[in-house]
Amino acid sequence: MESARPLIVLLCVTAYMVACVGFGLWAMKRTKDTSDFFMAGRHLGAFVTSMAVFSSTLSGFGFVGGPGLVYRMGMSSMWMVICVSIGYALSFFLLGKRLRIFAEVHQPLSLPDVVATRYGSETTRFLVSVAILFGVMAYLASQILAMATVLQILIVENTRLESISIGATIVISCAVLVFYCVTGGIIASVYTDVFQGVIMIVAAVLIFATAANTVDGGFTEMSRTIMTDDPEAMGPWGTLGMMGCLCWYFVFTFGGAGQPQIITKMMMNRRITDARYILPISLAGFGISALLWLSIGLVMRTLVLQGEHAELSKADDAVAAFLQVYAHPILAGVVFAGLFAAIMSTADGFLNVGTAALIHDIPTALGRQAPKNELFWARVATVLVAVAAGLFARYSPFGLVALLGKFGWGIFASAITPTVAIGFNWKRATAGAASASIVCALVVNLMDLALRQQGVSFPWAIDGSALAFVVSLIVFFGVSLLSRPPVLADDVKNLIDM
Amino acid sequence: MTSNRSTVVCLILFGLAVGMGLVMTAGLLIEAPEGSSGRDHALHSVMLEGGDGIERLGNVRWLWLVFGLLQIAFYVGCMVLGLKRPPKAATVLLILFGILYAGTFALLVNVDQAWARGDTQMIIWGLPLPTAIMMYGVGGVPVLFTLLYVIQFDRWVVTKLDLEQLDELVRRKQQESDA
Repeated sequence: MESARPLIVLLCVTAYMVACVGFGLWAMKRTKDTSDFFMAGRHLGAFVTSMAVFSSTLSGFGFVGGPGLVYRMGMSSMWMVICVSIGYALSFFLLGKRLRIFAEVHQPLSLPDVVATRYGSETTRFLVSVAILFGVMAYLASQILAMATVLQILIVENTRLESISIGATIVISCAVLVFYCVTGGIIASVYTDVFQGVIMIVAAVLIFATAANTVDGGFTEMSRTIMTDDPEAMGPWGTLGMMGCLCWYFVFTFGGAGQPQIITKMMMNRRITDARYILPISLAGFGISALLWLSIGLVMRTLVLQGEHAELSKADDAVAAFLQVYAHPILAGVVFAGLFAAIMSTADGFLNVGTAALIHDIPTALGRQAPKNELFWARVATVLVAVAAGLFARYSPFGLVALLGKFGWGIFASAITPTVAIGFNWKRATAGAASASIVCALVVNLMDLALRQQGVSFPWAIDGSALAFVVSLIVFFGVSLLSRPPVLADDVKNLIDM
Repeated sequence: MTSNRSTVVCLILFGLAVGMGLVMTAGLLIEAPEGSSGRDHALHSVMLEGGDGIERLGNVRWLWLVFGLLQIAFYVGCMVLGLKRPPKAATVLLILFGILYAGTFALLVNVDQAWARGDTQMIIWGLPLPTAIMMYGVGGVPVLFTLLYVIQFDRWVVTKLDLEQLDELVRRKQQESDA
């Protein structure tokens, strides 16, 4: 069995890729107009929507970058995992019903569409679209880079090729992703999300069991080994420290309500009452899948500290190293497929919202008519967005999956959450406040990035995205309270009061 | 009435956001000790290590505790904002669960301090005590909010009246577009 490991792994991954292409072709027949392409015709069942919500949350950042962060920093990144229990609840209390009823009455094609309806402002639509494009570029690039990194390791370890460039694996990654998104739009995306979600859950449970048996004494012994070396690494704040962890907790908890690839799916379910089931199913799916994040990071740190495994050359290699050496070949094949599933299920959501921003929202905000064949142009724009993100992944100065991913999440969180999560529940919120908070969030995030590029970081590991988020919230509330109450359309008022 | 209630909740949320901003500003102004957010591991170049837990947090542990409590209050406030025309029991239950959540977080900070001093070495379900409180307590208690959402969905979130009003709105919108 061990000698057939390369073949088994490659077969599993190839079978997964072929299945994704198959989903694309199947969904193409069901995609008749832009409503199908961007919103799945609002016909998704509760289970499908739940799986789409959770698998869009747990990205390549979680499946590749997450274990790498545990390996590098101990328990610090667990705050990004445990935040989901409060984060999902918060998103559903604020938006689960609200976005769906707006979608029922106004039939939007995208998040900026529904924002423009709420605020009656094309400027706000434009700024939300720009924020989405910024975030999509960073986050989609991180997904493509994660996928290309795993593919590169996979090809070199399991074929006769001695090396393959990261550029080549980026091209392969983009090609599969683009194929099923261009052909089937969001329908292909959400149905592959279900398939991908199931793979992720199975993979995580099996990996957790394998990891527990890799070290004699299981997780208790791992804790002891890590604590003997450095107690703080195994403490609740890891090596990052308390304030840094609490900043992450804030950005990932409340910021979840501003992630367009997630909240857009809250507008796609068939019945409004489905939200009751979507929340617990999504939460359970994420909770189980996140076992992989914790277990691989801990086991690899332990093995290296015990001298049982050679030191890793970079933290992101933790998953691949574990699978290649310690997992059963079939399990390794399933988990490698699961890794691609995690990455692609998030990336397809980004392609979708990025395309909508480019082809539909920005032209509408600028007063342009939608092109005659909007569906055709949506497919062209999908290719363009993927190529741009692929180039960004290849040539961006950051180079790290985790850094790119966190930057993307932070932009969405700080720029979009106040406008959507608060604004859709408070009639007093004004378009001016929404626009001002988006601009402030973008400026602070970009300043933080520029400072980091210069090697400057805040004391106590205070996170720039968290700072941008708090500034954006203060501006949003402050400007709204200082402005005259907005004059809203009757149906918008009724929907907010409902 | 609903509008006034939302504005009051948003005023509270505004205050909490300002509070978090002030804590962050204080954090930016207070000098952090060397290695307070991790330093290179002595033996393994890719790993970081935390060092002394008491020393690196200095006297500011209470400030970060306030930051965490403000966050929790903010989350509970947001959930109250998300419910329109809730019965009094809904707000009371959300606040009670919020207090339990905040209490668990405060317990974590307290136990962590004792653990950093070396007062306890207990391991629960594979994790040291404060980390176990973080994972199972701070991570687990908010599941109560999800349970509340699911169980009370018909009464607090989407009521029969909501569905009737929505049908009416959709019908009116349809008539407008037909006209």
